[in-house]
Amino acid sequence: MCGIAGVINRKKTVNVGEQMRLMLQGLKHRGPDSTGYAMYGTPKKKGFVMRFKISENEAEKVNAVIDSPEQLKDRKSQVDAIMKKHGAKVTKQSSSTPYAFRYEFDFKGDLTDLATEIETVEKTEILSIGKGLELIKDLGDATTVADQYGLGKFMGTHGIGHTRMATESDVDIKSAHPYWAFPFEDVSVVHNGQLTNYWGNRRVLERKGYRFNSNCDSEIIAVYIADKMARGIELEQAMHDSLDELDGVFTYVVATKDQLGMAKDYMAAKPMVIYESKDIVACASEEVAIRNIFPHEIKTYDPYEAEVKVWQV
Amino acid sequence: MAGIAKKENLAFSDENLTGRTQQLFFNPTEEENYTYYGNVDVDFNKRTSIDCTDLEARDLNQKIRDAMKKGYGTVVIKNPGAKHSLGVGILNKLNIIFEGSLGYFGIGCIDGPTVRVKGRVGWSCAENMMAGKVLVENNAGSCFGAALRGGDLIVKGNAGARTGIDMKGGTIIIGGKRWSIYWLHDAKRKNYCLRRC
Repeated sequence: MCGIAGVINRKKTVNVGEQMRLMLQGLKHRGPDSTGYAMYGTPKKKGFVMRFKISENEAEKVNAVIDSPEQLKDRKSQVDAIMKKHGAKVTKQSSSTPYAFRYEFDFKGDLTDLATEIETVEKTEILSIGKGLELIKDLGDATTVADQYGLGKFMGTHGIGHTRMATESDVDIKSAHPYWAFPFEDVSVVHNGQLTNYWGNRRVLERKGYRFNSNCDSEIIAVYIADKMARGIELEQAMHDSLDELDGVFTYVVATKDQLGMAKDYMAAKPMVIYESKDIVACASEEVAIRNIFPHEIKTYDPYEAEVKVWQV
Repeated sequence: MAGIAKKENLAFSDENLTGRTQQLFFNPTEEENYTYYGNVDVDFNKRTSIDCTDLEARDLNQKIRDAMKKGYGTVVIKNPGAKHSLGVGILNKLNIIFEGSLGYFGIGCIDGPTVRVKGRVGWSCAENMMAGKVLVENNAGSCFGAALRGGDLIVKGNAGARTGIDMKGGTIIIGGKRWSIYWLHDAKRKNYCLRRC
């Protein structure tokens, strides 16, 4: 019973960090385990932004294996060495927690090679790489995560978010949403529901060489979309295909650098409420979330079964 | 045949029912038989309003009942803010006006009241409604009037997926252009779906 939300501001940059925080805080009752944001700032003309983590947030686990500061330092230096080897020049770096980092870097080579090699470092996972995308996820509710990572002042055009109630995999960062569509810059997915043909699809995609970091069924949507895009299929078409090829009950929201899309399965069993206007489109699992950014009366509606919608910035 | 004759002697008709759910709380006269225990007379001209901004669903529903007991026949609820489960389980004649949208499971299990929602309703609005009238001025979400048993349910806008699922009685009137009735499992079965687009 996770909660998902997305907001897209047309042709203007606003404080989308605060918008998403308010919406996700309104969905806290749908999933208190972890919260994730995928925010899209103004796309950089040169270089990329990378968010990655080198350890797990094990605060709530019983048998936690807590990494020592030396281990973390060692892993970070390994990542730095790999980036240097590939000719990626880090121009700016910052970190909000001991295990999560944000790098800005200039790079001209193949992102797939770089990303794959960085992930060979123990417990290291790239959360996102993109020109505008910044993906943040951690344990706790929307406000806790937003404060921890300083999201309150994030300026951008659109974003998606997720509050998770873990039903089929662990409560940790790697199983939290959103998922980045490795290795495509600026594509991310949040999902509410259960996929029943997860293992079958996963084996097919693994044979094609895609990587899976968690056992969370939602990860497959990101990989699935990535696979379609690699074959040159448009986002909207890929989403239409997914309705037939993915089985189960699901509603998911996808974002790219200039688009926001939602898809609902044939059974329409997972909720979604949409508000559309000239300046802004907001969608969320429940209307209370949308009400948090629009206190006045607005006209909202439910999408129908097997409906796919894509909005442009 | 002998068996049936025997059954009549088995006290099916005159036994005293026991157990919590079958307990007799009151002895109704014939005319009272059509009302619920604890029903109150309300005056529709007596009007009160409740601000829902800081109220939980449980508190609001209690406040509606309190107003009803004081004899108020028209209750206006301001700023419902799309909260869930508002105005549920009202088994009395009452005029309720929501000045805003409702969340999921709004005005469920009602029997008798006349409700006007000046906004949208979420999932499963008026679920298991027995009698009364509901008017929604905006769109309705999925499962609108699920398990409806009686009464009139009117939405001026569109209704969502699975409208009137498990419906056994009553009327649903949809003013909008779109609704969908059946739960589809497969795209091929779309031909069997009654729908106006």
